[in-house]
Amino acid sequence: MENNKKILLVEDDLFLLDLYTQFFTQRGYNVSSASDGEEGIKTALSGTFDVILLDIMLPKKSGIDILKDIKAEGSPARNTPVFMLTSLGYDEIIKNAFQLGAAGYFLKSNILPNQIIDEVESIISQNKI
Amino acid sequence: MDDTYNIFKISVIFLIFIILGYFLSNNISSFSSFFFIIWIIFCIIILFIYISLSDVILNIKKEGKCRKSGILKINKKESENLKKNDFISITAHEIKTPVAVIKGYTDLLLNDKDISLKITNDVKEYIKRIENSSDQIFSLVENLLNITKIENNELSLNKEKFNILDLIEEVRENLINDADLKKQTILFETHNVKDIIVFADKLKIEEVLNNLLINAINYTPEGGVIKISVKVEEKFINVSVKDNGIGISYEDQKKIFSKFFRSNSINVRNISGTGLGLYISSSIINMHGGKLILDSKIGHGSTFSFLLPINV
Repeated sequence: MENNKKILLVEDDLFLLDLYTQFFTQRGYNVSSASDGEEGIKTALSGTFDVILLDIMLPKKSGIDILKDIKAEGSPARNTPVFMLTSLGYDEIIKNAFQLGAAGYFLKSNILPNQIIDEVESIISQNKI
Repeated sequence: MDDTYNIFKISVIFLIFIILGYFLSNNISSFSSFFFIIWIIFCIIILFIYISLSDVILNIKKEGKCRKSGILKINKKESENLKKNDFISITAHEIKTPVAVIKGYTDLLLNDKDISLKITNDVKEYIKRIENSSDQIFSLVENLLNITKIENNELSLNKEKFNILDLIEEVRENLINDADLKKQTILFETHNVKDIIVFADKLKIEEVLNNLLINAINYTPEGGVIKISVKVEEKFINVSVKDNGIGISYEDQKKIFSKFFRSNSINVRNISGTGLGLYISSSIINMHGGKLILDSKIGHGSTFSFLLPINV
């Protein structure tokens, strides 16, 4: 399965990162990954991605700060849909992420990697229509 | 300043007593050194008693001051509670990520075509057990987080209009396999009504329905019948889940909606659970302006019903 879509995964739990990488690779995605905030923002701004999955609690730089940089004026990744990954699901943080321009969020422990891919694909295809 | 003065005062008194003892022991010449040692030990004991008593007195004085400014004390208690709740949410977060990893890998092992071909059925059964156990950890953590939110007044309702009959049917269908395993029947009586639109938090009402039905399945013996019925009563709808299980004693009924309550009755000791579900459910229903009610008798089953205002 090759769909040539490029995805960036930013997640500091290496096992979870490996899982997401496996699932997205199986579905034909071209996967790039970063395991801390600084690496995450560097990669996000240097490449062109079709979609970015971004953890909120990250070492060095939080997911919310990265989202701000991605969505800042003049950023090359400004139009890339960003989905937040969170384990706590605090309303305030989620609201904040939406205000900053996140395309959606996933509660990491409530959803299996396969379901995340389905959701991401359905939201992206809805946006295209 | 107070402390230094106290230590100085005690030391001076202690020294005076020792010098006094020294003179006394010189006068009783036959036992002089023996008497002096006893005297010193006596002084030390008195000193310890004095210090421990003054600690108690000091604490009482402090408490008195706090009582006078009552707010101060309540705030302290509240902030301690907040700290405890913060601790719970951080811990819960730290537990949830590895649980997500376990769930992800078990899903990969069981559902990936290439991988699952390499695994024997025995191993698959073990993996399913791992999956079940991680689900249990997950729901415990989720419940703890919910309780923290309830106690911090952070649990908010996202109300929407929906047909509660559809939701009940959905929950029933999701649990029908569990009931089948125990050869139980779940009946759903709608009294010929097709739509009952309520304005409530759908996800949270779903959680309540799930809790009530899972409890009914767990606490009803094999072959039992569980009946869900919905009635419209003036401004409320009444949703009830009735089982013909073991029933709940009057003593247990008084405590059943409190946190971490688990019955000590012999019949239910092998049923797993945390005792948080009903506490959370009743909080959710209360937040909606409704009420969760229990009607039960030992040996005659239990009926849990909740009243939910229709036009909120």
